[in-house]
Amino acid sequence: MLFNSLTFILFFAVVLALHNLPLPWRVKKVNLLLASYVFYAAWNPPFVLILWLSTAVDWIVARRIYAAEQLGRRRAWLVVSVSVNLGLLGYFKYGEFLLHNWQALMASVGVDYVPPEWSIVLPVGISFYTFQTMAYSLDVYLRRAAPAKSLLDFSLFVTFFPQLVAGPIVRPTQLVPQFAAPRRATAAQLRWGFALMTIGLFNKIVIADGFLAPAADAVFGAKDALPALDAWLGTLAFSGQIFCDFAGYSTIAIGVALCLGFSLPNNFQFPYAAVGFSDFWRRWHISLSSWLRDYLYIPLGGNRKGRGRTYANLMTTMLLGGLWHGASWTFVVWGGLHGLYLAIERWLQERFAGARIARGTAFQFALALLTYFAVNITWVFFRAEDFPQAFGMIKSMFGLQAAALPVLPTVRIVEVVVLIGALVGIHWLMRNRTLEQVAERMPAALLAGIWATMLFAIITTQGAGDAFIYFQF
Amino acid sequence: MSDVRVDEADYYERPLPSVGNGALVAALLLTLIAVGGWEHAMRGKGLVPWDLADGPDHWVAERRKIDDGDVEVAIIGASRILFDTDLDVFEDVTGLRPVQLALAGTNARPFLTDLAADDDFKGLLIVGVTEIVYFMPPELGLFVAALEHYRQQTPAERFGHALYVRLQQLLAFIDPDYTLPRLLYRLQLPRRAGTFDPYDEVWKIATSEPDRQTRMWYRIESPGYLVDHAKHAWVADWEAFKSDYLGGVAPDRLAQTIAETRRDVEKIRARGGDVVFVRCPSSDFYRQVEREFYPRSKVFDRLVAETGVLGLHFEDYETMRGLTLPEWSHLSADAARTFTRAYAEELLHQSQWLRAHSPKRER
Repeated sequence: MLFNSLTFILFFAVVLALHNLPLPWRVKKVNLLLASYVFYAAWNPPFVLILWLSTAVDWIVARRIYAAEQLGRRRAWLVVSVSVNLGLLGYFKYGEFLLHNWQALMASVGVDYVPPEWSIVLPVGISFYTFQTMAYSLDVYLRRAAPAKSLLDFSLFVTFFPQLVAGPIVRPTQLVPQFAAPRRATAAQLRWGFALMTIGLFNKIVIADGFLAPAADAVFGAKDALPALDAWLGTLAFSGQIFCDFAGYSTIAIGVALCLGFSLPNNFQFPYAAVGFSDFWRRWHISLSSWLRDYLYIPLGGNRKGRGRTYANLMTTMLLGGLWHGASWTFVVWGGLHGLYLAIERWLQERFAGARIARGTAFQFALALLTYFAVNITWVFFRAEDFPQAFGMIKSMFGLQAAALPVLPTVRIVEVVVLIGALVGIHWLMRNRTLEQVAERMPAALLAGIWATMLFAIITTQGAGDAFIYFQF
Repeated sequence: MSDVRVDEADYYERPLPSVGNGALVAALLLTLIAVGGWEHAMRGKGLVPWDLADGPDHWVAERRKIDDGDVEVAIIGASRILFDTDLDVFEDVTGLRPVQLALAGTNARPFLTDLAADDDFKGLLIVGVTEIVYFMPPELGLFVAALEHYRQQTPAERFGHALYVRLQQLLAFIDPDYTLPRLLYRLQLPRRAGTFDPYDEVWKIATSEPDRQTRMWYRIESPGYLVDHAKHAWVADWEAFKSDYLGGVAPDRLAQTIAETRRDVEKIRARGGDVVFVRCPSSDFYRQVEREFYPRSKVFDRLVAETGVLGLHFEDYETMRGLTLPEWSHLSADAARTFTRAYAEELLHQSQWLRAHSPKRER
């Protein structure tokens, strides 16, 4: 079920009430686990079987890895975990993509291969929970963590509904210990949890769906070539839409967990104020970028095996990170561009490390804008349906299209300029701050006013329950 | 296993700002006051709590009635047959209550194909024919995704819809035409040449009750800026998209549409059901455009003749002509009752299927 739905409000009220009843901790955990299965089954009940499979495999595998003395046996059990999780992901998410690419490859060598029709529905959130369970087995294999002591705790770690379908991708060491002892939200946690839920819903319902999506949809749905103004504004609108959508989801997830007494890590830290691309990836989808760093980039050798391998590792990590987002070559290019940016940044840092000009605020701000500009180029490949559309959009952005037809009316231009200007400005002001620090210092009356304004806007914008963009990943 | 190192640095408690109860209570109170004021203001604008605001979930609930039981009569089509049919009046005349499946601005053909393929439907299908919509490519239309939604609606969406209906019956302001973004788009800013301004989109013109009983909103029925805007929107819509329609229906599309319609009609008839076409009234600007680009003899009459389906055209019946169309395209609520009685009586008279199945058939 969607966070921005009446069903979730009722569901959450029931879960919260049950969690605050004077029941044994084990019963409360069973309640949370059942609630998480209901939450997931509300999309498509049979897909709960995949969750159970992923849970069962990694529960067994991690214990076997932990018990095994020989490296070969440990590796073999790890292969089982990785194969099952990537196999599930491959079948449900990449099956059709692989078939079509195989068809194209065969056609290129003159073989007329027609693949069978592929009508598999993608289980929501599969990319998130398969990575989370794999991280568990990998941590046990790498001796970073011991296996969970209880199947109930482990099942809850895999299935915990606030972050089940779109993250944050939580590490076992972050969440499993929280299930060990009774937890119930304090009054302060409840209040801040509700505040975070409000901020997240405001981002999603009002900003992403209500105001930015129409401009982005109009531009990326245009049949004809676009003037540079429209192409840029549509891309900027999408940059705001995807941030408010995804960061909104994460913020709600953190708020929901906090209302139940659990702490989830931040997933975003004002990424459009990033100065450079490594800074961007420390601020955007933090739980995924750190997952890729710890379980892919570093095991590949990271920066420890020479300059050439470092660049190759960077590029491999980002290409696969791109593919994680979707079964399409456009996502691979999106990841590849980020890999390229990171490589260029690394090269420049080696050349110009310590330059005095780099420390000035104005220069930092200019670099942040340059970063945001370059990130927007990548969003084109992320949002476009295919390469012709993506390249057409890039040409439009640089004024290279003849006979361009505008699609954005004045009101949409105004809303994109105002909202994206405000978004980037807020990110810059919040660059070295957290929401908690700002709320702490804010006068209570102002805080109440802002909180009420957001609630009022959420209620009167009435999201139509559009799915969060990141669910498709 | 002594070398296992649990990374305690990963585990942490989120920092909490000292937000007091006062801020939360004040925020909730302010929200309550603001929403109360908004509700009052929206009721002042003519919104009412019993108006369910039509949408895909309402449509799916009606579509499921066909899966759940013996539906004798169903209606598909675009907004005209949706607005212009009074379900109570139809039931009063024929003894049968139709399931309303028409969708505003949406081609009926995919829905005809869907019902033709559904063995659960063996009844009478009333197809409202608005030529400009019926003969456009079937993948186009405002709510063409409704069928997909019907096939893929999740349990959560189904449950959420039931909750939504209950909430909507309490609060008038819950109306997709009166959300903050939609109200923003009513501002008249300087126009940018070559673009379609959201100001020109259709605003609220209808109310929707249980069973998707749709009626013209009373504020459109009396003179004022809302009815003027509704007319403006129709003209603007035509001007923006007329290049798609100038020249009328291409001969191959006409032939293909008729052939597909005939195929679907035959499937329904093979199960003992039947299909009828109803052409609802239009006037002024719309009638002029329709006469020019969709002349009756070349489009509607040909559809009727080549599919062998009973077709009722409002121009042929005294009782269906001269009715009130405040914005040229849809009947006022009173006129819809008159029109429904007229066409239902005519169907009872002319449709063999209805004569055979209506509890009020002529004996």
